[in-house]
Amino acid sequence: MRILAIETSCDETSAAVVEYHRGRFRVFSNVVSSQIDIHKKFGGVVPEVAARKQAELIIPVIEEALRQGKKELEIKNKERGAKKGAVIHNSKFIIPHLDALAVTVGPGLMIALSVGVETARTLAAVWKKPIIAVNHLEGHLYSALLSKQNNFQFPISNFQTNSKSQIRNTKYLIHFPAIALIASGGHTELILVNDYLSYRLLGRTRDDAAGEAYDKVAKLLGLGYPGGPVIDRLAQRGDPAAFNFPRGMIGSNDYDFSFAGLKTAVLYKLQEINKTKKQKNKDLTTNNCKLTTNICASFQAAVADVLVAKTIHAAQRYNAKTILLGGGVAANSQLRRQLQASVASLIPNSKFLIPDLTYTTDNAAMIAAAGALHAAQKDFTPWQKLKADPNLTL
Amino acid sequence: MISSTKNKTKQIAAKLARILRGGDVLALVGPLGAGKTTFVQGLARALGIKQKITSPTFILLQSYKVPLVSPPKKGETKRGCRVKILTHIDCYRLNGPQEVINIGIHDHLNDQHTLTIIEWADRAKSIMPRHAYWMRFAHVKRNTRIITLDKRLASAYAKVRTKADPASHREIARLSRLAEATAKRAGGQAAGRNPAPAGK
Repeated sequence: MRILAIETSCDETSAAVVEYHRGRFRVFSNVVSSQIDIHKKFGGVVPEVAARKQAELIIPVIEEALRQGKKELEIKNKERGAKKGAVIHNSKFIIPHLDALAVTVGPGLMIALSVGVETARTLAAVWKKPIIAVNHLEGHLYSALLSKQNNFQFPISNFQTNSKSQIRNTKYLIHFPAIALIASGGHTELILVNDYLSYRLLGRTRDDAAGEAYDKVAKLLGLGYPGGPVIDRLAQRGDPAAFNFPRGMIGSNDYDFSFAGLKTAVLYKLQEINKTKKQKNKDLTTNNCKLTTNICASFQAAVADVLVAKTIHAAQRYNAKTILLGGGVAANSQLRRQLQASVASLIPNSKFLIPDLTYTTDNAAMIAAAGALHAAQKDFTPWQKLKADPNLTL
Repeated sequence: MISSTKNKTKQIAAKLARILRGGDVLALVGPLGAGKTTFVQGLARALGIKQKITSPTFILLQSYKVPLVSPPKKGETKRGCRVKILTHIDCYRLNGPQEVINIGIHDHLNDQHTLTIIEWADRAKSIMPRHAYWMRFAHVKRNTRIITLDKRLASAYAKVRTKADPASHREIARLSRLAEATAKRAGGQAAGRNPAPAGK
């Protein structure tokens, strides 16, 4: 089954063609119109740009995905030695070989979601293909299934000749029950997965999302946008024990998170430091490097500690056989490392799956992956009934 | 007003929930970590919203349905309807009024059943409707915040105080005593650096 997926839940416009065959995923194309270059200037994502750009970009992005998909299909057929029945249509795009469309219907920003949903509806009606409505969080949840290697510490031995196509047998990949931690700029959620497409939300953030805390702390430190990669890099050189930032709700008995207090603690600390510096009549800019790296490291340690502790706690409680990580914060090196180490030492019988860096941020390939699992259960939505729902829950 | 803890901020919000009607707009201004989202959480709780209110910085705009269990009808003003939808907007990532319009703010502002709360409203001052209530949040020191209401909201808020039942009346008296004490202490420490916390 080949699926064209469209994802426009917030800032990114993305389209992908993914093949799902006997439990294996192969990403034919995954086009993301990352708008980070435009956003950098403003110290934040500028939705005026995002909303308008999305409507402008959606068609070129889909076109590109279809074109790359077609090329990839040809490569694949060559690899297999052009089996009988593998007729390739003489078209520039992969359209005749598509079986279904998948689209993010929520949660997200209404105005952004509707761009993707309306496009998908139109295409489905014209091409006469079924549509699969996908929850954005489901996409993040299954993003690890697309990875070349399901463990980032493994050497890349089974590297494909073409970097875009990745094959992994997913049949035995997720053992249930699984615990999924999804941490991004808009979400911090802990989900119990009893089976494919059977979820229970265990806990979520009560105020700020983990990625949002990163962005805001980066702003406080004057590091620009996005905050995640910069803080991650600076934290490598800092001392994580330099400051003792609060680990919000780490001892609570539920699985909720809170990062607003941490952000405020960093703010207080900065105010305090600035005050003492002023009293000592020191130049504020000198000697700031060491301080910034220390704050970054301490902040990152606090975030990772909370996320790891809650995930491990949930995994032990529900006897999870697999731990899934997803979302933009899953790109954070310390979180990956620390969760990996904790899983290995505390729940050694569980598997730990993390997505490749490409699939941590919002992208359409993960939507296709979740869509494929829906399609396997014949869960289609007629295009007439397809609707964006900004408040969608799992 | 002075709020010395998160819960105090939420209590103030709960009081305000009695005054606010559908179609009202609440514009919140204040730096990072000043308690704007905390305030909205308190307000939503008072309106009976069970969902957790999270910061909409990333998502920009989040709507919540207000369940039928409405806040007490006593002391209700005649103007406007019951709040049916709470829309929570965050302009933190936005740059200028045009962008706020582009996220579809007018659908919410013009709806007579919607109570719209806008964080970082100072970033889109020009498109805020005339009838918007303004609230300012400011840090004084650790955990203590000054919340300033605009004139119309402050007078409405004062009315709620007098109409409140005796139990909460006592609570308010206790709170205001506490607030005064904090103000004295805060005033002493931050003299000259902060403007007077009185309503504008």
